[in-house]
Amino acid sequence: MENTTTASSMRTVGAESGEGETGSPVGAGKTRGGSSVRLMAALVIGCPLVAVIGCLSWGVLLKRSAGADQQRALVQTTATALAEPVRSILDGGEPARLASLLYQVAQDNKLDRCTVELSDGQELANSDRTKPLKLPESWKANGPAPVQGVEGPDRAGIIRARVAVEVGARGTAYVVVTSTPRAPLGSGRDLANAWAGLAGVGVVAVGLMAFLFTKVHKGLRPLAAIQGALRSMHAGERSAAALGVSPRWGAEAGAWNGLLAERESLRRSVMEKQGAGPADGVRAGDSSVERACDAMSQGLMVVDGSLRVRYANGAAAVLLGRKRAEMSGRALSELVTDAPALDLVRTVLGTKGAGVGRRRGSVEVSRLNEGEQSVLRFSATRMPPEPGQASALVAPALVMVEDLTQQRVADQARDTFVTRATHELRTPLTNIRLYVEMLQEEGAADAAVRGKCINVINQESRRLERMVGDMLSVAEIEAGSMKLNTDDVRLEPLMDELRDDHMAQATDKGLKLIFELPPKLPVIRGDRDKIAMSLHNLLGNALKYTPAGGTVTVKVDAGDSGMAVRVQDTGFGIAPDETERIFEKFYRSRDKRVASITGTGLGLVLAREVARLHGGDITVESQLDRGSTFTMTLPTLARAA
Amino acid sequence: MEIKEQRHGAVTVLKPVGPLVQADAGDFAERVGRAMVKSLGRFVLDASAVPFVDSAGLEALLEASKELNSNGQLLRLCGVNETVREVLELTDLAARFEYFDDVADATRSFL
Repeated sequence: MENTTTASSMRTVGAESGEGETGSPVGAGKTRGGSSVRLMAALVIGCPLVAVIGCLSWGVLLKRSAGADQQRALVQTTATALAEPVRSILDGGEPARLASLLYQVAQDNKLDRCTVELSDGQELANSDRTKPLKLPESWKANGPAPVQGVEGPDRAGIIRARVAVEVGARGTAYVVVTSTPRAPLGSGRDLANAWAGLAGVGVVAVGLMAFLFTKVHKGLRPLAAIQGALRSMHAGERSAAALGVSPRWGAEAGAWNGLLAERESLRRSVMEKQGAGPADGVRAGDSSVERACDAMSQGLMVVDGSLRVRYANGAAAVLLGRKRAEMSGRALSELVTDAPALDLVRTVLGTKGAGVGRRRGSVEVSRLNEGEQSVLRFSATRMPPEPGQASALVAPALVMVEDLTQQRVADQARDTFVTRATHELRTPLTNIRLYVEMLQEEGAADAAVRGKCINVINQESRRLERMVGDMLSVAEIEAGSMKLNTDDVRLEPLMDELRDDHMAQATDKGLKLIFELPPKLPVIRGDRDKIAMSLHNLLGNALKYTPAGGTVTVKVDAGDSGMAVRVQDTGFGIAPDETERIFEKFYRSRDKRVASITGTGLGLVLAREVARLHGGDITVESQLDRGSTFTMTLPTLARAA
Repeated sequence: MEIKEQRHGAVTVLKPVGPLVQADAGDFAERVGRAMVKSLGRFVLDASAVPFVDSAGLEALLEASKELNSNGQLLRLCGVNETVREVLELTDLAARFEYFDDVADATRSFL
């Protein structure tokens, strides 16, 4: 992704710079860099070249100037020398001789032209021999006298010398000698050769310059492009796409592009890190507030006006069965499928129905997750709008998710317990009331009825007492405040009491109750009442859950280190998956036969707790429909205080 | 190693029986992960029948708590004996777990 971008940008800049276009600001930067380098290269190569050409030209000009001076002297001398012969010829009136003299002198001195003129410019004779040879009678001066002496060279390079000649009565004539200067080398051919050489040197120099320019320009191109990019960067350009240069331009360009790519990837990774978090810039584990939110057992989500989750703490992810990373930025409807919860959030956000809805509310939903029922409470509160936010309608909502499942289960268990306990308590109370009434009505007359009534009332009140004791003990276990009143416990009287208490019940139900006791029972240290209660509970259960005709056996094995009391029955038995659960508070077997028998689900909890407090335990072995054996082990000298 | 699974109300309790070592580590981590997802985090690890752990066992414990830790939550352990506790402390991993005396105590923490 990144490489592609950079490559394309390089192509762009390369093209721009190569063609010297100034289409974009960046291109302009490049071109500026390119032109300055070109200028530099041109100066480096051009200056010496111009100097060479200048020197050569100066030399030629110097030579030409020296030639002109020589020529001037020649022209002056010739004109002066001609003055005397011309005067004598004009005096003698022989113009024919004059023309030939002029011709001869011009030829001898390689002069362009020699003439004899009047002051008005009329020629009397010239070296070309083209003038009439007839002399006028007199040639009075009829204009201003021409300037005498040497003139030139003028623009055409012509040098002219004029010398006045007084010819007797006729007047003044002028000898004019004209010449073009010549190089001391003499011929025009030398000059042409010199110029040709100069031109040749110039062409070679220009060619060389062009070659060097191309070379230098090519070498400096990447630097120019980088220079341009740096200027753009200085001007505020930050995009790597705009700052890249063509990779065709060698190692420097590659290194520059590498730097840009590195900078870009760093920038991106920083942005991605920021982008991964919620919109307000808080990232996972970022701040102490964040960590505090994560430590909460309640799920916490911030949901914005478009129903997207902007922040979710760890508990929210756990409760919604998601990974934390996939929470942020998601639509709430993807995470929460429960319609009442979604409706609640919509209402609180004001996106459901007209206008601004309630500011807060909560709803409980029951959801099934992989076969497990959970109860979640969603509470939503609209948050105050962020500072500077225009409308209260788009203010986010804080959604709290609480797991109430365990609470609901506990509530249910308590309800069940209260129902059962009420029932359990009412049964002996009803019995007591009924027998009291019977006693009142018939007791005075019939001693047998009176005895029976008192016996039942006694039994029922003891049952009631046990039950209340159980409940109090459970409360103690709950509070962790159950204590043992340790003393020496003699097991013989304890077993007698156990037998006396339950024999009648067993006989009534048609059960055989057998006590298999060793000849001598040990004395243990412990809490007599609590151990008695535990044994009562075990034996009571055995009698309760064994149908008529069955047998319940109580065995005591006494060893050196401790003793084990086994209560064995031929009752319903316990399903394997319930053998541990029956030791849970309020737990009652799912067996239908058990459901019809009253019970609180507290007896075994208490019995085991007591055994454990004494440093022993209660274990169970059971087979469904065959019967169960509960074993209570107690150390002889209980360590428990 | 046997791993007993119990329910205490709405809380899932996994009770590995025996030392948590190399051979059982993989199976253990997988069981814990599954139970955790299924119970929406209402999960307790009853370590009362784990006499000791080796490095693989530690790794499995870490693996099991990783998902919860990444959410800022802690794995609830109960009945951890002195040996295991010491190993966790020596390896500086103790802070990744929450400790309870027994299952009832741990279960109550979900109320």
